[in-house]
Amino acid sequence: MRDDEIMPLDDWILDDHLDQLSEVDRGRLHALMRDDPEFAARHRRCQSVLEPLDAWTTAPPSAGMVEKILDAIAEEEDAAPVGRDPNFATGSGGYSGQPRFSLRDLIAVAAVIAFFFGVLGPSMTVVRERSRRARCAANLGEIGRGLAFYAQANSGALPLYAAGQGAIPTSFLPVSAGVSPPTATYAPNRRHLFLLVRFRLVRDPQVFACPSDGEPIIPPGRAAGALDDWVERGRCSYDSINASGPVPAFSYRSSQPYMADANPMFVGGRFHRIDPGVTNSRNHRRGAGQNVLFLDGSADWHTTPNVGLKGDNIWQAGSLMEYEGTETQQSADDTFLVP
Amino acid sequence: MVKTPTDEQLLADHLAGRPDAFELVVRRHSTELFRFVLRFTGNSVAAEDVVQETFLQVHQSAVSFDPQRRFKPWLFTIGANKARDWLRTRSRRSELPLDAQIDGDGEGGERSFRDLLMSDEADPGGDMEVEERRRIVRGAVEEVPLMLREVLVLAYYHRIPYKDVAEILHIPVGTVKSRLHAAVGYFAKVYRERTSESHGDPDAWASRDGDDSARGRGQ
Repeated sequence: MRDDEIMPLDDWILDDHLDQLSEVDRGRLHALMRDDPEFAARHRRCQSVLEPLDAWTTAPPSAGMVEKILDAIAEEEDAAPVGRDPNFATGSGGYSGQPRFSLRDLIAVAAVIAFFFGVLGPSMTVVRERSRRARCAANLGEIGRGLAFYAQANSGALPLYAAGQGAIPTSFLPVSAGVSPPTATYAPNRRHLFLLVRFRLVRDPQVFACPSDGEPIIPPGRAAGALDDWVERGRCSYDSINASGPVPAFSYRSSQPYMADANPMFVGGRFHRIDPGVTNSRNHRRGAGQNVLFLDGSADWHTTPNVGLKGDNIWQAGSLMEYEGTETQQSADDTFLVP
Repeated sequence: MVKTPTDEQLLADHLAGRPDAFELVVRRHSTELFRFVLRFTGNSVAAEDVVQETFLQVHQSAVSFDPQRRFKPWLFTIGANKARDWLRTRSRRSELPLDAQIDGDGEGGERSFRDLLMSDEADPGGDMEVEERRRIVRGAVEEVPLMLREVLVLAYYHRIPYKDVAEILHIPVGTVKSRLHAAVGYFAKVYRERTSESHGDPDAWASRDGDDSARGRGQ
């Protein structure tokens, strides 16, 4: 049996175990088991992995659960009968078909609307920005789930795309945590993250666009599966740990940052010494702060960049204030996020 | 022979005013939904609450149900969302570990939260070895990342067809298969770590890429 045949056959074994095979495929599988001793042995190994799963049985619900549910529904029915809206009852005093508004009614409504716009307009801007921050954190959370999935399939390693490996990798790179890929030539940092799009490990590529900053990640008419990099550098709103240096492994126990809103030291992909007055990412309004994704998969809002291990500044390599293009993390505890 | 009405027919009957139609839907699906949510949350009290909220939501939204769709995936979609909400709410609260001491004088006789909990497992029937194994398997499954675990619970434990799992979770069928594969591999790895003796070969479920097109076999 060739190696490249193993994966689909494993799927067959799992599908057979779950009674999800068609009759034809089941016949083919059982014929293989009969005729190919190597496959039969593999089948037994797979079954021995699945067999412990069946040990987890669960207790039934309590005897009164259904009655409790039905009581709750009955209470709800009494409070507001479903499907019957009393405002739409016909007959005397009910809905008569044609709405009637006087000019005075319309002016009053317009005045109330104008008042609310005047009073609430500025605060609505704040509310909108807060909403964008929340959606941005949700984006990073979704990326965190994709990273967990990638790491699970790569012995804990985080996405690493090695240039010179061929145009588009057809599978995850077999790179273990802390081990350099086969070539020493690294791709631009954000290209590593594109692997999550390329292999559909995130539900929607648009999660790489901060709602306060980003453009459409995949332009109309382009398919993510046919690409191996962002169409334009600026379309990914987030920066991640500099993959040219030591990169930690994914760990549900680590509180080290992995990714965040864009590093303000880089403008248009080029490094600029930071203005001492600007310390937070410029993705969000007035540089109020940034969302940060940590290696344990959690993502939240911080108003300071000093959220690395031991209060490390995530925009700097160690305490260096310059970047010549070769500086990376200065130690295992250091985090340096770059485009 | 009396033909058993489908879920979709019962929902239509309910909307038409037949009084016991919705009750039949609840009785038909509540136990399976409970077991599904229990495997998600690991807490039987929470699972009963989530099941009740799910049916209340279904009751409220029944008028908006598209009769061209099938009822069960819709029900489980709502159940899965409610269970995720519960998990999120719980993770935001500060919680003490289950074995935290809650009374006693520190010289024996202490009790922990765990002692107060009813068991969520089936009756072990006095077989300690079976019970221990069940506990280890449950712990290992609960360690599988949520994104993979929800596929494992639906497809493996509930034998829900892949296309229905895809509909419930709003993901392609190929992704269901690759996540199920990854979930089994993850489980096998954790299970092996938790048991000293060898239980199967987790490498039998070696990781592979997520390219769904790699599986061209039609079903």
